[in-house]
Amino acid sequence: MKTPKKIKLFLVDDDALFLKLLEIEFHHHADFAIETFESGERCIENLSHNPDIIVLDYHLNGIDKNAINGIETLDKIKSYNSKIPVIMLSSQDKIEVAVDCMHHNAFDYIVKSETAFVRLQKVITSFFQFQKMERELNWYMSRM
Amino acid sequence: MNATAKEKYTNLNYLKQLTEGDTILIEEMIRIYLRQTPLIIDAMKESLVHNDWQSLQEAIHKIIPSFSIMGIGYDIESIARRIQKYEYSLTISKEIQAQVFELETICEEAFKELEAELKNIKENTL
Repeated sequence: MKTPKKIKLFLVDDDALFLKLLEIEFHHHADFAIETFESGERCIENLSHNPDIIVLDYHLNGIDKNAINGIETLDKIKSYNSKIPVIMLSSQDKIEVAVDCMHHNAFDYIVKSETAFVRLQKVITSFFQFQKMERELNWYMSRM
Repeated sequence: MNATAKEKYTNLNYLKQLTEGDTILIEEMIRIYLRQTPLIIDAMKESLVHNDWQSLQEAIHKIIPSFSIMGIGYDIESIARRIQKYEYSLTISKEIQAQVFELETICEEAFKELEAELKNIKENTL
């Protein structure tokens, strides 16, 4: 029997501690092929690896001032492939940040907190359910 | 804020739970924290020198998630949250500066505890 292809997940955060935490959580609780990047630049360089979903920090230039920020990275991802879903992360629980992410076509926005991983899991599951429903709907539509 | 002999600034219960007690991962997380946090504190102090409100806010955003990972108490995290909540102002007030220095002092204590923790892990795995 053919082994199903693992979902490829990119985790992007210049906070190496939070990045490692997410990587551990995903390794323990989900079966993804994970690639981690500490900058938006590194993420963009590796888009040819075709991630199925990207988790991206909003403040990517918090430590290195010359690095590109989360929104610029999001825009570059979307111009490379607008279909890649991007979930934004931020330690700021602010409406302006959430709106900014949505205006730049992020799939969702999650605040970094103790429950961030649980919320990430839920959002990722919702995305793939939505994608499955969309495929089924298209299949039926093509037969009408 | 003074930690007594019984009171510690850090609590590794969450980290132990997260890593399922994997000492290699615990060690790796502590090392990342010890490498990264001084850089963030330096960025905070530099922003005070240059009266750079935005850089201060960015550094605060970066330091906040580490508190819950290293089990640094909510009362200490709330100092950072208070700085985060201040509205933008042209000059960084003495009050904010004092809070940044308080955070630095607490983090330095946390570094000592975590270095001791690393030593413990090393001794127990030999």
